[in-house]
Order: sequence, then structure tokens, then C-alpha cells
Amino acid sequence: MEEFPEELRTPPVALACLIGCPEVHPLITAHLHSQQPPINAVALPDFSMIPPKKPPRDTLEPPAGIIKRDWFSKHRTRIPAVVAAIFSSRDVSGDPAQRLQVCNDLDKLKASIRGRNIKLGVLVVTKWNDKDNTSEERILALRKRAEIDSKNLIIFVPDHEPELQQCLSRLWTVLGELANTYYRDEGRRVRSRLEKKNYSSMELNVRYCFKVAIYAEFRRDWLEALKLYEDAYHALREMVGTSTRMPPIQRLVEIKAVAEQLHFNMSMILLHGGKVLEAITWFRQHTANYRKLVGAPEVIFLHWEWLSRQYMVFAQLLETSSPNALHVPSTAPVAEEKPTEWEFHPAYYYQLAASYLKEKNTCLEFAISMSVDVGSFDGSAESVVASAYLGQYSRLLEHEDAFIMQPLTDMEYAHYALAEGKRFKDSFEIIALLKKSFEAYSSSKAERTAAYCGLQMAREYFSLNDFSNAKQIFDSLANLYRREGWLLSLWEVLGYLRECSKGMSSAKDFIEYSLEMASLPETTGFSESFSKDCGPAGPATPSQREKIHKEAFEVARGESELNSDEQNSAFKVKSDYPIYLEIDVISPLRVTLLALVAFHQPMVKPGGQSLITISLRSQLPINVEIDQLEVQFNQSECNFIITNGQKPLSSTDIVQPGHRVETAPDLVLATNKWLRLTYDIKSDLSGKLECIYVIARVGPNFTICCRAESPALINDSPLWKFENRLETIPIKDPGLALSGQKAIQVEEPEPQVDLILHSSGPALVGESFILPVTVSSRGHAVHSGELKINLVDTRGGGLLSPRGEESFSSENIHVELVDISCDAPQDQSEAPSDKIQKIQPSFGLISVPSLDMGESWSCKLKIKWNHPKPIMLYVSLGYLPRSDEPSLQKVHVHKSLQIEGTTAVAINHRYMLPFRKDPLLLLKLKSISETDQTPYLALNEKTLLIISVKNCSEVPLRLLSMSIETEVKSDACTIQPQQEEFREAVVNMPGEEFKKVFTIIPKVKSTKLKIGNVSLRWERDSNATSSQVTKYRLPDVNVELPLLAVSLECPPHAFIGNPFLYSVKILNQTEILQEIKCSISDSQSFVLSGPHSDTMLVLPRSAQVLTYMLVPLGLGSLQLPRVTVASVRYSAGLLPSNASLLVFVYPTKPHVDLKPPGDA
Amino acid sequence: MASTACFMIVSKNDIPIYEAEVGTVPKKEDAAHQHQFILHAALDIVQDTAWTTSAMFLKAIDRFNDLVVSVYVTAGHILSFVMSDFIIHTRLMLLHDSRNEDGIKSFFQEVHELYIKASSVMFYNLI
Repeated sequence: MEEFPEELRTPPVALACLIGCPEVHPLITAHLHSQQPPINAVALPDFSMIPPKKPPRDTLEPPAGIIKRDWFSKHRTRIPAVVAAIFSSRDVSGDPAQRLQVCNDLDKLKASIRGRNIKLGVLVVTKWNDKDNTSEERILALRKRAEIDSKNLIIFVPDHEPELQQCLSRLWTVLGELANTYYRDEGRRVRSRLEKKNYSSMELNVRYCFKVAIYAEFRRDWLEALKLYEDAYHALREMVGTSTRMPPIQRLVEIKAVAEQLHFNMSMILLHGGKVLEAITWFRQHTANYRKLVGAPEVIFLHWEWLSRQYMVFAQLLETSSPNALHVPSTAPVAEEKPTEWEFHPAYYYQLAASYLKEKNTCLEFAISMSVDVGSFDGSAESVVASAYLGQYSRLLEHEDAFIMQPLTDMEYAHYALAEGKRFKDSFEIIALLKKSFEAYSSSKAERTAAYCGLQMAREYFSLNDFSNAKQIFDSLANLYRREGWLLSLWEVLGYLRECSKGMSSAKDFIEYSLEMASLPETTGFSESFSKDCGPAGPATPSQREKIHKEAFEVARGESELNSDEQNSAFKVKSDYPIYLEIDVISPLRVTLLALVAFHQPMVKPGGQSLITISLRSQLPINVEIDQLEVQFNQSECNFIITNGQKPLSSTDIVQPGHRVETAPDLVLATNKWLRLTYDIKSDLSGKLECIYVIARVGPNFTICCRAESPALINDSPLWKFENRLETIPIKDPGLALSGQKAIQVEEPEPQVDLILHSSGPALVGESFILPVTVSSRGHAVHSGELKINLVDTRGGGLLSPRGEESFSSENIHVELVDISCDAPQDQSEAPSDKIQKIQPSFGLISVPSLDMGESWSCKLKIKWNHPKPIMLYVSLGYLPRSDEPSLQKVHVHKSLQIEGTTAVAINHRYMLPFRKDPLLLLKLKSISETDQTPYLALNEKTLLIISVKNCSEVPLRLLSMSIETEVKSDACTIQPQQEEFREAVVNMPGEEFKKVFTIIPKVKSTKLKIGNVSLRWERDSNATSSQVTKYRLPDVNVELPLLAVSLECPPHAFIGNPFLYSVKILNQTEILQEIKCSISDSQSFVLSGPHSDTMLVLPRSAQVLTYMLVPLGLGSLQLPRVTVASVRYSAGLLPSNASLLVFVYPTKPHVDLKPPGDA
Repeated sequence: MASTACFMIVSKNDIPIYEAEVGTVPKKEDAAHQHQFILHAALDIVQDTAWTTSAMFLKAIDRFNDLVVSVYVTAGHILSFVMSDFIIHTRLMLLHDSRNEDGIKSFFQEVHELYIKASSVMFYNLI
């Protein structure tokens, strides 16, 4: 696009001319330029500088060309549409001489512009102060002299800002209108010639259309401009076959140059108006119109250059256009064929521009090679210049101090074009275009389209002998085509890569690419006749593959040199430069050589023999004879070599001493046929035996190292997926072919040592559980023995309690290994440094002393359960049966044991009030409805605490002592007894419950009073273990002062007919008088005396006793009359429980000796 | 009139499974191997376009000079074939220079029919 001048690339701007008063020019110019639409201005300081009138042109003369090269720039920069004559008010209203001068200047100006139809405006510059002094008459006279409308005369006041802005704005409007009128008139003038068909030749038709279009563009009438450009374009196209004005080659060049210009202008208008679809349709028509017009054969390259430029310029336009900058009405018809998606992308056009430029290059090279005498014209080529008309060239001759333009003949022009063509190298431009396109496609994630660009780019690099760049791109392309299985494309790219590696003297790459090409599947439908169209690889025919195969092996065997024509260097594979190819699972060379290895058994005993089958397959077109095969394992002692029975082992073959060598009858790889080799293999080492590599040696310096694969896991490459070929199985046994593995498990030797874990039932939480472990040898001696102990949670969780993970203390570990105690080794001579003992909470390691056959050794594991949790104990012993062979692998014995951890005792507690005593605790009453379960105790009142101990284990336990330990030594409460050692241990059988009563008298009023911990010491009844302590924390209690305390008093038993006293004592502990309502219900079993229902007042800090005399009438356990006590103040009443109202009535006084036996 | 045409069937994982030069005379400047490159490059646009329309025949979706790529996408991308999974989203591509759209469409339909018949044969392992 840069080859088009600036004025063509931007929308046209009207041109005005300012004459006179140069001091105001900058002001006006800047303003006109800043407006929208802007007006350019040419400033002439003086009226003396008005150019003279041009002599009239001879219209009968036939046109020398279609469009003058500078016509457009002339209108944009030199011929104004409007002239503004500027006079100062002093001159206008000055003395007669000054006025005369003004009139003369004006006349001169009018005379100059009259022929050209240029419009005139007049400015009178005045000072703000003199504004009113300027005579109206003089102004009128001036206007009449200038023959202009009154609105076209402006009084210009530069020294007053508001007035100045107004003047400038008016000036811009007036000049704009006048310019528009000028362009419209001019357009009409030329258009009338068109309408009357008043032109003598086709050239003039095109020229007139072009001019009218340009004038319309000046007026921003885009619709008309487009229409006229279109007319010009069509008229021009018709000229191709009809015009005879110039020699044919130059005629076509001129027509194409004009067509290019017209199309450029149209595209600009359409694209800036956002009419992308129309622009694309036009472009397609444009290229279709001219693509076939290649012209004379000797300058055919000019055509391709022109076409390439069309694409490139359009791409640039598409890239840079900002849509909707102009408002262009829709005109162009939408094509029947919709543009493809890519046609909206500049990348598409860049790519095609590059491909046409490539075409040009090819034609140019051909043209140069055909014309031997290009050089003879070289000297005079410099004198050829572009002539006045667009697309024309002529020779500039100096004749008697004057320059004459002499037309060229076609032959001269062709020579000139060839010489010009030779001067430029297009390859870099082609690469730059393709790179742009490649990047654009890549960024829009069109990988495959980008790949096609990449291919063209890489070809160009290749043609420039820039092999490293070419190879890089070709490599990435090969990856894509390989992945998607596009055979022919891959073949083509590999052919280039092969040549690149040749150019870079890289024998390894050359062989790799050659082998890959040779082993590609055959393509159908190709015959030798296409060979001239193919790349360096030639056609993808079987014979070509065989040729490539042979070449590769000749180079690999060192039989021929790798010649690089460009660098004139030769490379030969020899012992200094061996070739080593590695083929792994993802390598494209897998089809060249695939090595499958399968063991016949999945497992083998150490020292036992197993069969192994090595299957090799190649897709190379010709049979390959392998000199030697080496099979490598992860256990290097098992490696072995297979030699070719047809070839004697030469001195150059690498055979390491001590290695096993097998001989196969022949090692020939036929196309798509498995070469199966089966051998015995033996391993003494236990563990995994895996085949890693199968290394094939062909010739002295060529090695292919192929990673072994399992038949069970083989997957075919996409290239071969749909090929019509005979599928054979790699191993004769079909089962093995499907499931064979390249690795085998060598078992450990059978252990001859027993590991015994003595379990003694479940463990109890809190105790240190002792577990004896015995190692006893049956048939092996034990050397360097190690015992590993692992504690694992059976349910999969950790042994740490969740909250304990950050603070690692013994309390937070559910189960821990505390200690390992072992017998002293019998052999004292063992060095102490050999003893290992590591103990961690869940892991332990201890060394086992050397044991001879038949000996045994034991140790005790001490495991402590902090929380009830079942665990799995894993104990493994690793030892060497012989002490003299440290390289041997250890023998392992594993044992595991699940141990339950259970809670030994469950402790519970209960608070009870003393019999027939009820303190009134207000807070307790309130809290009944709430969820708070904290017990309430009465201050200074006795409360009973019952601790019950239940044996949850499966073994009898002996309880030794029980105590309540207060956390802080304080007098907050009194507990009796504090501690009790049982004189005889209480045997608590499984499931049994044992209860102990304590009394508590709280001394401090408090909420959340800490009572302390119950501490119970117990041991197993078997006496085998030491005593353990289980602790139980008593929950906090609320202590409250009872406001009232009611106690019922009556004898424990009564006798029928005998009266007894039944009293209700109400103690008021408050400082206020308490009103108490009291009532007693009647009972059939008793006759009672006393107040039946009463209200009484209890004085502060005093007690009131209600006494009843009861006579029992019945026998046995009788219910006493129910007494109800209610406090009026607290709305609280006491209903004594049924149990507290029972009394036993004897018929007579029993004759039981209640005295203790000792007292008798 | 001599015409160039290259026909290709591309499987759902972009691997060509059948190709044939079906034109009467291959043009001199359009080397036959070039056709694969052009058809391969057009796959990108097929990928995009196939999801924007329910039509199977995508008409001319890419152009390279005079050569046009027409594509027919089998219905697999809309319907799920349970029995013959391999018919899903197969693309029949034709690179041609003639503008006979109807002819190309009926050619594609005929090939599609034959292709379904061939690939529906039991035990015909195409994948």
C-alpha cells in the first residue's frame, strides 16, 4: 500500500488559497485544518504571486494516456477550489491610491481564476476598534468589484477573541460552500461530456469518469464516487481488447496500473464505510477480471507481480481500515457465492500475495534464463523513467540542453522490466508475507491453515538454502501431519527435511527421515507421471521408497558419503562418527523398527528359567539384515547378545566378556513380518526383571536402540490405522500376544525362619500392652537381621487424633509403640554399632542378632493405647541367610496381627439430695426449661455423689483405690472421703458395676465450680501387669444458696395404733419475711392432728416447724399424708416424692436384736 | 472440459481414510500432492462451520485460486449413532474447480449412502 502516494491513501480534502495580509494566514490555516471536514489552504503573501493564466489546451489532440500521474495530487495541493482575497481595512478605506491598488489586485486575481472556474471570497481585516469606522459604501463597492454575494465577504477581526471565533467559523462555512460549489460545477462540467458522449476515445471516457469520481470524493459524495469509479473500471476493462494506441505489452501494463488505481480507490471507500462484504466481492471480481490477462510470455512475471500486489494491498487495506469512518450507502451487489470465512481475514490475502509473488519469481527466473542479452540493455535501463501518464514508461533523452521523453518499444520495455526484476530479491518479501499470514492464522487457532502457510514459508527458506529455519518449520509440520495421518503431505515434508539434513550435513537426521519415509504406508493412485510436480522427495511410489531405503542404508553402513551440493562438503559415517538412533514409544521411527518383548510366565522363582520372546517388525520396503542384536535388562547380568549365524562375529563387534552370546540362524527383517526369537532367561535376584532395550547393529557404525514394548500395551500409529495390510500377531501364542509383558517378577527365596507374635487378647486403654515376638530359625541362619514394626490403623485413619496433629504429644496419639525390650544377644562379640533401635510412635526398627540354624530370639513390644482403637500390627523380618554374600537380596518374613483396644472401665456419676431434705434453688427451677444440664448444688448443704464403675472389658479387673482429686487445693467444697484405698481389692467381673458414695458440701457460691477428677486405680485380675489409673473428670456444677429449705421429719417406722410425730421444718435463709402456704392431705391409713391448711410467716434467718401427730391405722408400707408447702413470694411449691413419704408400720414392736453382734 | 478434483474421506479424528483423484486431467500447475495440503488446511474451517449449521452439505467453504473445497459432514455430530460409532462426524471433502453445486451435492449424497452401507456391515472394523 505504501507504493500509493499519501494523497491516494487518505480521503480528499478541499483546497483553498489565501492571498494577501500574510499576518493572518497562520491563524486561518490552522482553523480551517482543524475543522471537520477540514480544508487545506495554500497561502500566497502577495497578489503579485498569482500564477499567470494557462494557455488553452488543444482538445482535438488524441490523448497520450489514460490518467495523468499527477492529476490528483495537483488538485489536492496546487489547484484551489476557492480563493480568499484578503485586504486590510486600511487599504479599503484609505486614500484613492490604496483603493486603486486594491481594485487592481482584485481584477488581476479575477482574471487569473476566471478560466478555471475557481470561486472567490473576500476578507477585510480590521481592528476591533476600527470596526465601525470601515465605510459601508467602500465595502459595498469592493463586493461589487469582486462580483460576489454579500455572504462571501467577511469582515475579519483578529484582535478580539469572541469576534475572531465567529469570523473564523463563518470563513470556514463560506469557503467550504464555495469549494463544494466548485467541485460540483467541475464535476457537472466533465459529466456533461460523459452524458453527451462528447469524447473521442475510450481513454477520455475513463479519464472523465475518474475525474468526476474524484470531484465527488472532494464533495464527500461517496455513492457517486463509487458509481463513477465503477463506470471507469468497466470502461477500462473494455479497452483491453480494443485499444491500439500503444504497443500491446505497455498497453496492458498501463490498463492494469489504472485498474489497480481505480480498484484501490473503490476499496478504500468501501472498507472505510464498513462495507467489508462488498469490498471483498469487488476484490474477487477484480482479480477474476484480470487473472487470465497474463500478457506476453516474456513479461508474464509482471502479471504475477501485479496480481500479488493486488492481494497484498487489499490485505493491508483490510487490516488498517477502520469501519464506519465514512458513511457509504450500500451499492455493490452481494455475490451469489458468499465469501468464505477466511476471505474476511487479511491473512488469506497475504498468503495468496506470497504465492503469486512466488509465481512471479519462477516466471522471472525463466524469463531471465530465456533472454541471454539482458545485459546489453543494462546501461540504458537507467534512462527509463515513469512518464506523465499512470502506468506508462518512456526514455528520457537529453537533447540540446533539454529533456525529451521518447516512447519505448515493447522489446525495450521488456528488457527494462527484466533488468528491474533482476535487481530485487523477492524471497524475503515472500517469507515476510507468509510469516504475517502464519502468525494471524496461528493466533486464530487455525492450526492446519497455518500449517499450509508454514509449508510455503519453509519451502521458500529451503530455496534460499536457509536449512536451519526451513528444518524448524518442516519439523513442526511433520509432527502435525504425522499426528493426523496425512500421508502425502507427510511424505512431501519429510522429503524436504531429508534434503535439509543433507544440506546441514547431519547424517543422523538424514537417516532418520529417510527411514521414516521408506516405512510410510503405500499411497494409492499415484504413478510416476507426477514426478515433475513433486518436491525433492519425488513421488510416493514403492520404487521411490526403495530408493530412499537403499540410500539411507548405504550412508548408514558407510558405503556412500552424504553429499551436500550447496556447501560442497561430504560426510561419511565411520568409526569416528558412528550413528546411534534411539526409538521410543512416541518416536515416528517405531514403524521402522518395533521391538516387542514378552516373558512367557508372569512370575519365576529365583534361579528358575523363563522363556522370553523378542519380536521385531519393520515396515521398510526391502529386507534388512541385522548383524547383531543386544537385549538389555534392568538387571545387567541378564543382558545377552544374539549374533547373526550367517555372518561370522567380526572383531569390531562389541561383545563384553562374560556376557551370554546366542546365535540365531539369520536375522533378516522382512516387510511387515515378525522376526520372532525365543530364548531362556534366568535371574537370581528377586524383584522385577524388565527388558529395557533391544539394540540392533547394522554395519560397524550404525546402531538402532529400540525401547522394548509389551505386546499387551502396543498401539498402532495413526498412519497405519486404516491401511490394508496383513495383520499378524507378534508371538505365536495368541494369548501371549495379547497379554504378554516385557517385565517379570522374580520371587523372593522361601524364608526358613519363623516369626511368631504372641497375642493375649484385646488390649485395654491406659495399660502398656506387652506383646512378645519370637524369631526362631528353622532352616536358615539369620544375619544382619532387622525387625520392622508398624502400627497401622485398621480403618485407614491416622493414629493421631485430629486435634493432635499440630501438637505432637503422647496424649494425642491413639496408640503408640512405647518400647521394645529384647533379650541380650547370646553372642556378645557383636559390635554395638550394629545394633539399631529406632522407636517412633507408629514405627519401630530393631536389629536382630545373628542366629544360627535352630536358634531363636525374642523381644517384647510395649504398646500403649490412649484411646480405644483397633490397630493392625505389622512385623517384618528381613535377613540374609548367609553372611558372606552381602550382595544377595534379603529374605523377608511378614506377620500381622489385629489387636483390639478397648476401654477397661466406664465411670459414671450421679448427685443426690439427702433424704427428705429439699432446698429451694431458684436458678435450678428456672433452668429446667433450658438445655443447660449442669447440676445445681445447694450451698452449705450436704449432697451425695455416687460414682459407679462398670467393667467394660472381657477380663475381671481388680479395683484398688478410688479418689476424687480436686484440681486446685481450695476450700470451695468439702468432699468426704477424699481418697479410699480398698482394704481388699474389689474384683469387678466383666459387665459388673461397682458404686461408691461420696458426700460433697459446697462452701462457695459459684457457677461452674470445678469439682475435680475421679481417679480409679485398677489392674488386671491376672496380676501379670502393673496397676493402671483411669481418670474421669466430674463436670462443673452450679452452687447456689437455697432460699428456703424444707425437711420432713418422721421416724423410720411406726407401730399400729401408736401415735408418732411428723414434722415439716421450713428454714428461711433470706433476710426477708417469707409467707408460706402449707397444707396436708388426708390419708385413709392415718389419723392426723395438726393444721390442715394454713398460711404462716417465717421470720428472716429462722425456722418454722409444723408438727403433726399421726396414728397409723393400717399395716405395712404406707404412704404418709402428703404435705404441700408453697412459697408465695417465689411461687414455688414443694411436692415431696412418693419415696420420701413411705413409712413401714409394724403390728407390734418387733423382737429383733438390733444390736451389733459384738455388743452382746 | 478438463477438470481437477480430489476426493477424500476424513475420519472423526482427522485421519484421511480414503482418497482419490477423480478429475479428468490433473492440471499441470496444480500438483496432485498439493491437493492434500489444501484439503488439510480446509479442515480448520470445516471444524468451525460444521457447528454453526444443521446442513450436511457445507458448499464451498474454502478457496485456493480457482480451486474450491466443498464439504459434506455426516450427521454424526448431531445424532448419536449407537451401533456404528465410526460414522460419526466423518467428513467427505472434494477439491474441485467446476461450479456445479448441485452435481457435487448429489455426488456427496451418493457417496454418503454407500459409505453408510459399507461401514454398517457387522464386524467391519474401521476403527
